[in-house]
Amino acid sequence: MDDRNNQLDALFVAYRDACPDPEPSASFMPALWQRIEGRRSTFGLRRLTRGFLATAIALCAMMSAVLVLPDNSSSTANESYLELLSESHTTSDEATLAGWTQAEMSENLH
Amino acid sequence: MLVDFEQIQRAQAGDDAAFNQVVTAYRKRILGTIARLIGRPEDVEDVAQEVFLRLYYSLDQLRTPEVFEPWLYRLTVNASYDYLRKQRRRSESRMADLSEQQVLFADALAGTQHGVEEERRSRIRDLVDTLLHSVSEEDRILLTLKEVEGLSLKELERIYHVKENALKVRLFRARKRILRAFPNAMGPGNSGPGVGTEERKDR
Repeated sequence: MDDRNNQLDALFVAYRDACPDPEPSASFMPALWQRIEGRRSTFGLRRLTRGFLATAIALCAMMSAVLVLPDNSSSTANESYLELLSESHTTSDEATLAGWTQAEMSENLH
Repeated sequence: MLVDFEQIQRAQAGDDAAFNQVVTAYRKRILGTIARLIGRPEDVEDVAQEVFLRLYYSLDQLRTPEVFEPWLYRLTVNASYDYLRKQRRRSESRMADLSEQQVLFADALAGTQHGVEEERRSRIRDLVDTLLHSVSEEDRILLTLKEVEGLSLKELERIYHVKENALKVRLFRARKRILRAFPNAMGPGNSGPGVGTEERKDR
């Protein structure tokens, strides 16, 4: 078994020698840069699309926030208006009541 | 390392001249590895360019320059896998075609004085290719990286992100399968294509 293992090891070494590293051709680097540039334009377009999408999503979020928030604020405004109205009524009623009581009281006094 | 860390860091920062130097330093080695992994000389440059293209666009993901080499090997293995997968699909339509370069190479060989030596090398290549095809594609690539490219188990561990022991088991099983196919590939009574049993250099 060891003998065959050694034979196999030797065969792998011989194979490594029989398949030397090939020399790159003269067009290797220009072709590589051409591919990099080609991918760069695709990447740029993809990045632009991503940016556009992100802006669109942000805009949508803002719009929905704008649409939702006025509802909340109007309800609080209405509430506060009603509250103010009721408060003012209460105070005027109280004042009237207070005024009548005073007049009545002064009449009673006289 | 064929380049220093500083050069890799400059390439990471977007310095194209530094990237060019990195490619120039590694291209021959990567071309050799791809040639032995895919076995089609005419497509080796194409796959190597794909490796360096992926390297260019993923260099910013490399956390430490120390792991650059295993990482480059990982890109090489992945690009070779992708190529072989595509080839498998193509080979369904065109079976056993000789590449143009192989034909030209064989023609040129016929008239050269190195013909005999080249014939011996060709027999070795054929024999090892036959043996390596007796295991799965994954095991063939793993065995080639270990036994032919001479990568250590530690390096393979970094490339595959698999524990050393698991790799050892996989290599042992693949080697066992190759050994089983060994006498058959050599033929009955054949002592091999001029391969001595000299001691293998430790890597």
